[in-house]
Amino acid sequence: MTTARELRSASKRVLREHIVNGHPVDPDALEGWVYRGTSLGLPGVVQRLTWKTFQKTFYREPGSGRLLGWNVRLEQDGVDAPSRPKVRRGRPVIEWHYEVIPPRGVPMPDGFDRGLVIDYGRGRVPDLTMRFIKDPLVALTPGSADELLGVSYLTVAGRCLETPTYFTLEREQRITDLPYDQPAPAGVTPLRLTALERGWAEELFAAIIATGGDDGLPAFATIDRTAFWRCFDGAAAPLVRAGLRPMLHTLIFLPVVAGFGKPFFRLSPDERARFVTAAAGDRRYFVRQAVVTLKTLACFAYFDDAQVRGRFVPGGAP
Amino acid sequence: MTAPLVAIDGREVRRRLDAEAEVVVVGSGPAGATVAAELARRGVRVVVVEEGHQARPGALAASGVRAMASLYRDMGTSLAFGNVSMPYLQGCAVGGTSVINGAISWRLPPEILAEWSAADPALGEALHPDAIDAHQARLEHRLHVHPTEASIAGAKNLLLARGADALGVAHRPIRRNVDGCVGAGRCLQGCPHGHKLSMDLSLLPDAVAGGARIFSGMRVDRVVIERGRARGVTGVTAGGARFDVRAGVAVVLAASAIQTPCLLRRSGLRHGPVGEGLSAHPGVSVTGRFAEPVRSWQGATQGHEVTGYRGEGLKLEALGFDLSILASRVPGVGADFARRLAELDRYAVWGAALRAAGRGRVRPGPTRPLVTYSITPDDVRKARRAVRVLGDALLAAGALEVYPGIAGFAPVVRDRATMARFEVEGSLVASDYAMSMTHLFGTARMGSDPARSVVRPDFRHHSTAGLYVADSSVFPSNLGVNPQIAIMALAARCAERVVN
Repeated sequence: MTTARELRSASKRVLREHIVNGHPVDPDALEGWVYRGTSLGLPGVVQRLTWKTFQKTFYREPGSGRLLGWNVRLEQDGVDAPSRPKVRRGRPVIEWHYEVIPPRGVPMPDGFDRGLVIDYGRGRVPDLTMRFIKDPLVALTPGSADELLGVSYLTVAGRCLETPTYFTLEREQRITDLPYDQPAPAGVTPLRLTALERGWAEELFAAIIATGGDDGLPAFATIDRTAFWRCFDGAAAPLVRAGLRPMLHTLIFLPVVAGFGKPFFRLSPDERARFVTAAAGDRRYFVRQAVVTLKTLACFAYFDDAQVRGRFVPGGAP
Repeated sequence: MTAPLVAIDGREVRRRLDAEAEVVVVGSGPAGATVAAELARRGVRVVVVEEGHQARPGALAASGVRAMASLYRDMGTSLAFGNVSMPYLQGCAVGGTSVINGAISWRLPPEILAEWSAADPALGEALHPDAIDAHQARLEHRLHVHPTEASIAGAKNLLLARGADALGVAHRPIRRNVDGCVGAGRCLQGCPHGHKLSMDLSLLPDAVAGGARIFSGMRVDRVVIERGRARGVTGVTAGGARFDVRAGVAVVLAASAIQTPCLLRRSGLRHGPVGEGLSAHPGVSVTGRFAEPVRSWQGATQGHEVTGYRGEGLKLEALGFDLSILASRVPGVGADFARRLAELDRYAVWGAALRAAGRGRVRPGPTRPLVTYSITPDDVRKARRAVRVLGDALLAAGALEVYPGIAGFAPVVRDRATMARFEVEGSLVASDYAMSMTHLFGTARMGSDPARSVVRPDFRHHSTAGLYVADSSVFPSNLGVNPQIAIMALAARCAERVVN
């Protein structure tokens, strides 16, 4: 295994081998981070005229879900000096906007498709001078996006021309501000349920718990679910968050083919009760597991409420 | 004036950080804390690097979801996949899993040590029973290990004693590492009173008093290896900056049987069975309903155990949960479930830990470790036996109803004859059992054969100088009992080797 630091003195042949034999990069692992870049493979005179170090950012656009980014110019204080952005009129100097995309279908030199591709022709702010440049990116360590290696190539008239401009990227810090006229990153992740799906989940939770009758307990709909969703979205394993969506969709649309003829959200309270009871005893493992999972989550949400807890524990503070 | 426990909080580190020590310990759970305390006591300059944050007893949440979100890795939703998918629970805090476990303290069973020695005589020398016992006795004294007092046990534990008596099987109050426990029933959410002597309240302060520094909120990505020798660790702080901690003498991995093999593999150390041979104690539980209030959330979280089935590879315990988790174990959905929730104080859940023969493996994944684990047909039979004896014990203790919760069998059982029938007719399909996995072992096994082990009997990595593994990854097998004291005793032995 090779580190970014070790590659500083590597030859262009070795750097190319690392690109061709590099490891995949998880785009989610880039999201929201600033990386410190170090140029490699360029003659010293070129570096002195341009730069040796720079920053690249990776930012998930909330509306489109695209993974975007831009370069930040740094003061050239030395390879190991802390990053100090160049400032113009009180703002960091930003340039070269791009989108990060998978390599599928992108014309590129053979073997450059191991990781992701930075495409300067698809950035949030178009830059005509950079539109023909693309940078394949690979991870230096399998399963880790902390250190990356990239190289630039040109696409002209359908041909791909390799360049000697290699660079390493090392994870440095979280993005703190955006160069766009819009709010700061909201931490939106593709795994988070949409507002509609969350509403469906809560309707299923309410049908599973079904309090609020003569049991003396508050109805699910009346309790505060904010902390539950904050905890779940912020802390549950990605796999579990990803798995919730198919479970939810199964239980929402299963009634259509399970004798009710319509989705769960169109069922009457009585039909909902009959459906969740039937689903809990379904012969299919996945359906039963979906009910068990949603029941567990419903209990987490319900018993996080101070009023509910107070029914059992003096004080009841969550 | 006492030094603060945490020297550097990674949440506040937003620019590159470089530090150095003689020994860097990765992980602050029972293994890491013990190594750090032992080394600091001997004057070694130690840095402990921990991914989680410090839990402050007065500020801990009672709510299950909030506690799990702040103190458990991935909110307790980490999953192992196999013939039955099951969650595995790990703490992620300064003090590791000791912050969120039931404080159960067992010595390493002599017969297990004998098994290990028989399989590899070099282990018998390295882990001599007298040396291990001496460490265990000292650790038990430091952690104030003693049997749970009846006055704070609470009804669920006393009922288990009653059930075991009626069945005529051996049982006893659980020996726990607590001091001044008032039976708040919140061990699994982190003790709100600071009465559980988890590592953040015992050996880590000892280590700090000896000069060790603890860095929290810092995730180690890999071990830095130069010319075949471990020279430090590198990773990312919770504030988003990179950090490097150089180690002049050694790096000790104590990050758990899941994280340690991932760290080794990410560091390019794939020699031997790294990540192979995962063993564990899968657990099953059965819920019962009593006529009188039990209030399972009150009293010692886990205060009584049935030891009479240990010969069969089963150990039964009373379980204390937050309201949310208890409710999720109560049967039913809809109006039936709501009626039961109104009487939640009548329900008790007892569990059994299985000394399973199942094996699994751990690999680093794109964002989380990929863990696979499957139980054997014999383990499924053990699970079925466990459900039967748990149901028996509940009924013998006076439960009106028990709920085996196994597909294809009566959902409600009111008599012991039906429970006995379960052991004959109950399912032998692994996925019919809802199980969870605790106590993970064996993914960087110790041994004298480099082809079949990852570290030597003296805890040194077979091929990389200055690199040690101190956690339960090195255990050649599972134990059949709660492993905290055993892990700490072996970690103390590891510390001796590092010094030597």
